[in-house]
Amino acid sequence: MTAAARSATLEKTLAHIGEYLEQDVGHLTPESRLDNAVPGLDSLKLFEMMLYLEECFSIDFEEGLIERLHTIGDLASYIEGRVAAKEGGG
Amino acid sequence: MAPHAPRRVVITGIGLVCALADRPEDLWQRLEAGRSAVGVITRFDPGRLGCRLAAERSGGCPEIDTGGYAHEIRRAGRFVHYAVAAVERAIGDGGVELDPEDPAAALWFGVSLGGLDKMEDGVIRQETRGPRKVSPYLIASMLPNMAASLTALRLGLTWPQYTVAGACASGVQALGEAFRAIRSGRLSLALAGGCDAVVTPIAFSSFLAMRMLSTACDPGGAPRPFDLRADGTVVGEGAAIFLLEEARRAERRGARVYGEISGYGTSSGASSIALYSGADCLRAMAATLADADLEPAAIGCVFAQAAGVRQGDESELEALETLFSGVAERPAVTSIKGHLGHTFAASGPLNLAAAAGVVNGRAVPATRNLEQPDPRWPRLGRATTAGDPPIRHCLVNSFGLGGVNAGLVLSSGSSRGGRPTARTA
Repeated sequence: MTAAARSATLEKTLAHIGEYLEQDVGHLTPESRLDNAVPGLDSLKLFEMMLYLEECFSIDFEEGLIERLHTIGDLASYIEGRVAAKEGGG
Repeated sequence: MAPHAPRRVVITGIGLVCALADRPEDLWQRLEAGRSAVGVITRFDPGRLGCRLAAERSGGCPEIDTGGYAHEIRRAGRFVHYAVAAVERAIGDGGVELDPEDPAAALWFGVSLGGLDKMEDGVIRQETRGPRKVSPYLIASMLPNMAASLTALRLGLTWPQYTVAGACASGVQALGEAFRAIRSGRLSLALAGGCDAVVTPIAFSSFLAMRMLSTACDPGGAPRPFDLRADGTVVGEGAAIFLLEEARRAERRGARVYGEISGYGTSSGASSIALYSGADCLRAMAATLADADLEPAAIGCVFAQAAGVRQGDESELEALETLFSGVAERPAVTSIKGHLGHTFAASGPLNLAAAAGVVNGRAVPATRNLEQPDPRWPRLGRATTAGDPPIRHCLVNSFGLGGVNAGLVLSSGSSRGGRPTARTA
């Protein structure tokens, strides 16, 4: 996966997070933690946001994923992998 | 310790969200004018159903789009949207500064069907897209307590909150229990009322299966409370929340008083889970008047439960006949469900809101669509006129599936000290 593609996925992920939260998320970086970087992102919102991202990228996340992801960067990387696997038929 | 002397309980704020009006004065004027909120269902395609009509509220609730927990409220059942907005309107109408930690305040909300709309959406989503795609907000969105809970969270209240589930009598029961708590001295303020919003297909198919809904096609002709040709009710929706205060507290802050809740009664009993009985309706009405320490002759008006379902309307009329059998001048009896449809847990509170107009000098609104009234009651469903004596006490009836029966008496602010009582009438 090229750095350019990685960056595009990250930007799309951030844009969709902003759409979902109806907030400006310009302050978020790949190192921003999912558990404290976004004010008001409690567990229900996080779970719903993940469903929203599944819709946006037309992918399904694995069960238990949230426990393994810590940062925005982790999330974007995971999405890249799922999209690539889907496009590759895997 | 000496027990508290009974406190007087007054209404100092009214918050409405319903299909006909969002302010008490507008509700009173439109009821008197005979306006109807009944129309052809727009929220979904009723083509599969045997009925086409509902009393839908158009437009959103601007109050819920800003402020705390807007995200959660938008995802909740529509009954929560209406309740939250009605609360904020009641607070504004009452001109009160709430203490979020007031130890003498509470929330009392009546909710019967709750988030049925969200449950239906959730089941459809599960069956079409799989269980994994069910919203994490589904449970929270449909719980009946979420009207009170999101109100408390949004306003930062630490007050006790209570949600009463008593079918169509939920709202009156909630108001009644809040009234009792203030009268006893345990509380001095409450936000109390009822809400329901179930214009959603499963509600219609369910009520149709019970043969409770009108299959009329003309929005101008249904429902027909107390009419001999009534063929069922029409689903409505809304919320009515009241600011109740201990009278001296209201007086100290110079609050406007709409009226005084002077009695509350509730009891159980019905012919079956879906059928009222005159005797059981009578028991609740009699208990309500006894609690108000009023003779039947003191009641000038009855806002009836009557929804255009013949069995229920007849049972209520039978009870009214018995209750007022010894009274020379019978009260005006009306139903506003011809204007608003049946709003379930909100129906009793909306009746109370209408009664507030009457005890403040407005005419009793005529019952819509009542063309062949039951002949047992003279002037049934007819409006009062300027020549009629002022009404000081209104009885509000509320009967729910399962035999939940309740009533309130609303008295005018000027009725204190001069009303006929069981001992003096």
